[in-house]
Amino acid sequence: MKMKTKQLFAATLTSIALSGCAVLHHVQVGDVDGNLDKAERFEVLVSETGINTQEAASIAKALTNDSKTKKDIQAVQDIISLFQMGPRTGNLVYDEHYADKVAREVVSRCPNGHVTGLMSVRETTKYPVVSGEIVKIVGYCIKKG
Amino acid sequence: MKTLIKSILKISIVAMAVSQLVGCVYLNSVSITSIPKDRTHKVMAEANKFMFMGFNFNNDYINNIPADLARQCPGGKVQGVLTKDENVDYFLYFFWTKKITAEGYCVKGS
Repeated sequence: MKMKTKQLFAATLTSIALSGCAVLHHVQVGDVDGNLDKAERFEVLVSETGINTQEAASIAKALTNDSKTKKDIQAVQDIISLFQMGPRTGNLVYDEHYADKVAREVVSRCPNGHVTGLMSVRETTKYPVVSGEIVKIVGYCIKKG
Repeated sequence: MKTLIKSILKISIVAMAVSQLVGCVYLNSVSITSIPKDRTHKVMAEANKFMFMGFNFNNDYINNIPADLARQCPGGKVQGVLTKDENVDYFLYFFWTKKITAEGYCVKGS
């Protein structure tokens, strides 16, 4: 009975960890036209995989019993941390251009119309060690005619 | 003397408890767009989500902010939009609310 409770607790924790927590970093709303009932809503989403080196190091340390290996892992983690200082949102990504295509994508969703009500959102979906670093644009396209 | 210390202690505990319940506000980001000349009609939209220990599985609650602003300005254009992103912490970040506020000016005939 005791074992079943433990298993249930572990399963609950695992499912919470795997479902991914959504973190909202920044929201910005632009000018909005009042006649959105005639407009078509669109959403542009770009994302990149983020890596949490601190969590990765903690897991690696938990998997070994050798104290020297643990020290080495910590040393590597400390060196990596030195290169990641400064203000940031979410985890680090290895492609700094992943959000560059956002403007092009917005235009492609409304090629011959007027884009209004743009809301840009920067968010993270967190999982153990990795994360989805997301830029989302919500907008409305008012077509001509 | 002993009673005085006891009373001070009681008051301090109550004051600390009350200060925890009031809620601290943290401002994450602010943005603003160009402000129009006509600033007579103000419009405002707000989205918030109460969270327990930060458990939050999507941010869809903010999706209707532009539409909410537009609804308050039929036939016009909402300009000078100030967007605020805040966290309201009620108790040691066990309970908190994420609050997004957008307010601007409805300009008719633009």
